[in-house]
Amino acid sequence: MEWVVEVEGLVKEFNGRRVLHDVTFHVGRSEVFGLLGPNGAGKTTTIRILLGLLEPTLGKALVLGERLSESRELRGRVGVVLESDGLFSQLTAYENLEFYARVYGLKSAVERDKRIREVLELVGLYEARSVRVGYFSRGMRRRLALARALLHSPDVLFLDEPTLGLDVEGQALVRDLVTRLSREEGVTVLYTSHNLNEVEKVCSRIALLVGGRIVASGTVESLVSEFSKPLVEVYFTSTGEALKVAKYIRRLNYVVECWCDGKSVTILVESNSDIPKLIDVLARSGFKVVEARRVERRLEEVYLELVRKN
Amino acid sequence: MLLWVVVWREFKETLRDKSLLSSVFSVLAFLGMLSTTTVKLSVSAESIVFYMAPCLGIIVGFGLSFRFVREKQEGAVETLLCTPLTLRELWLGKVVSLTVPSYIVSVASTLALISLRGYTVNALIVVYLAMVVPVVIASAIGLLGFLYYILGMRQVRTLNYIVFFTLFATLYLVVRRLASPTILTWCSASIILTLSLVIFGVTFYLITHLSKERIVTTIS
Repeated sequence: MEWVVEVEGLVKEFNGRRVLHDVTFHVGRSEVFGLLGPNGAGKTTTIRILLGLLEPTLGKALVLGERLSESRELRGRVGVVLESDGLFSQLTAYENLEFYARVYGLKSAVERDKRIREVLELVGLYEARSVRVGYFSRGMRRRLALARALLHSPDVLFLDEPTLGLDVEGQALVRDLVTRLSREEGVTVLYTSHNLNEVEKVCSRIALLVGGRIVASGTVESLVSEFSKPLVEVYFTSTGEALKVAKYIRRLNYVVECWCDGKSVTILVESNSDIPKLIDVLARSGFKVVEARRVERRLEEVYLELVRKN
Repeated sequence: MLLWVVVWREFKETLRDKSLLSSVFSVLAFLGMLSTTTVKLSVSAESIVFYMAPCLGIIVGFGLSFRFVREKQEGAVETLLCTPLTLRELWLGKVVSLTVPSYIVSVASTLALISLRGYTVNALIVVYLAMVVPVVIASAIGLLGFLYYILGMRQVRTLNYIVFFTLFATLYLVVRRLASPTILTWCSASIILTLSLVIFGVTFYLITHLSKERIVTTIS
């Protein structure tokens, strides 16, 4: 497979302190790859190395087969939204985009104007095109930064917390845009976010970075099934019975944890095969089970479990 | 050429920035004060041009050069470094766009001071104002910009204090020396031009070899 982003054995040290330990991941064409992790995990450092803003201590970080720092032409095929918006407060939204359009090589004024109009409409800022960016809200600046990143129709997009400061509508806009760009235009996206619901919706694959190490990677579904233990919720006729059940099943060796909430008991078991065993034990012990259902685990729970463990 | 794209944007920003106005106002206030305190001294046109023109240009340039720091502080420089622009183009674009208004203010106020005293300009003064002064201002702004790029924010504050007090002391000495015999000659102008070109050349070389990492890691 042809990789658009290749990170192999990446190590980064600042004054002898190692912040990235042997980080490896690959992103294919038109994939939306999410880089997740708590603050200080090394996400931004990884992106900065890929963008050529930092030099790796060891290992390689390539975009379209090259180091971005070494190729001006290649930098013209990449769009970025970093933590800071990279906009100029004294200029209007239109002037900001016009500057970047010139930098990215959109030579004719007609072509520039057409493209600027398109991206401004895409992010819902066309009406505010003549307003100085200094008067923009955080969310508007973020939208404009996204418009700037899309201006030159890049092959690869690096989005570092693109929805930071955006309202719900803005977040949905970014999600739809990213999904559409990857599906319809084949754009490869490297996406970091603290919003796990968003990552779940947008990313085709993710890597979880904790303390500068990748502790898990794969599709959201594979991570959830690989790293989370099955959770079962069982309802009883009374709170008293639920309490008795909780006390009883704690002794079973395949029950990892269980907790009571009114008439229901939530039980974490070792594996999927333990669920029928558990129901069988409850039925044979004479407890009156009203309803039993498996709880769908979410990425957020897996994420928290993995972060705590690492 | 990308350099001119940067210059154009910088111009627009500088002209809309209130700091240009405050720099001009400071220069005018200083000149007013200078005119009244030196009115009884016999000061030659050469002395005014030799000392005042570069000093005023550097003062305005110093006032405007915070744009290097602001771009770094706000993180815009990070985004710019991810575009096809090179660090050298960014630096040079800023230097050109900050030098031009500083130069205009400096030359206009120097000429105003000269004409107020009823002096006329000679060839040496014209050459000095047209060729030496802009290079002196550009080399000073360029060097400052380079230092702003490589220093952390706390060090930048210290540097600003140092530059501010150095400029203040220089102005004090300059005012005292205005009445001394002039040292503006073809030879002295050539020496200053050469020195400024050397400083500019060395800074240009250093900027070309400056790593982006140095800038990014000194942002906060």
